[in-house]
Amino acid sequence: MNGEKLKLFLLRSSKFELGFVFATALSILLSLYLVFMIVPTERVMGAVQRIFYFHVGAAMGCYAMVAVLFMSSIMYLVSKKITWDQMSVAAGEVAALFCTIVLLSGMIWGHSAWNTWWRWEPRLVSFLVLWLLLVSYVLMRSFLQTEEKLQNFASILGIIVAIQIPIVIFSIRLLSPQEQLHPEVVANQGLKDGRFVLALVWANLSTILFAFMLFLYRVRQEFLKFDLLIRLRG
Amino acid sequence: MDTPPDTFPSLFLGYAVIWGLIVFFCLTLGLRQRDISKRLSELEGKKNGQ
Repeated sequence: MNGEKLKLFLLRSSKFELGFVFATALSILLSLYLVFMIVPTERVMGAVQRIFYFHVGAAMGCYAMVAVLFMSSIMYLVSKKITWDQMSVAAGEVAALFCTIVLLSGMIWGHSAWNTWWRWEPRLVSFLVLWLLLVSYVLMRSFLQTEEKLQNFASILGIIVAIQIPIVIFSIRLLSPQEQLHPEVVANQGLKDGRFVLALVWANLSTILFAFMLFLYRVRQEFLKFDLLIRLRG
Repeated sequence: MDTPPDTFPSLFLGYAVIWGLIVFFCLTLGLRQRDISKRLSELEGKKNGQ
């Protein structure tokens, strides 16, 4: 894939961009309508269960951005084209944002449902490690400029972040359901009512779209910042 | 039939945190954008002034 062509595509303001932003806004509004107006109140947890849809959605947005980070880090290491590195910076920041949302919303939900903010169990700990890796990545990038050696280190860290994702996904199987609080709702077919499933799928879709929208504007900013740096040096 | 517990305060806090973080991120994005655009236009101004 040509990095320059991709850069031109991401920079171009077009009808596609307008449609993309409009579709994202509309899908988020629709998912809010589904979550608050269509989905019935859960019997055991009450209203707080409605956090679930955006908690899982934010996790999906985070995974999507880590996938972009992984791909662009590999492409940078292979091609040494700065466009891929700029994409990594943007994807890493958006992934860190969604990872923080997952952790905090999960803690608030957990405090209400389990009567505890935190528990040292595999899913929660592996997600905390993912968050720490992403925060390290963002901090590392905020101190780096354009030295190639440091960009190589950042790309390797980007790949390590991506390796953490399967660990997060499969960590739930390290203990039996009786030994941990975090449920495996979808795999255990815990959503019996079709409205729960519809709201979850739609919230996931809209959050992934939103993550890509934030990525688009963040990566454009990174291109502009690089232009500024070139002009200042030149 | 069981009545669901009143957990609205936690729901409110959860959504406030979710959207608060997103708004904060968008604000910082906008501020950084403004800073970069300002510096670029200053450079353009200097270039045209020469």
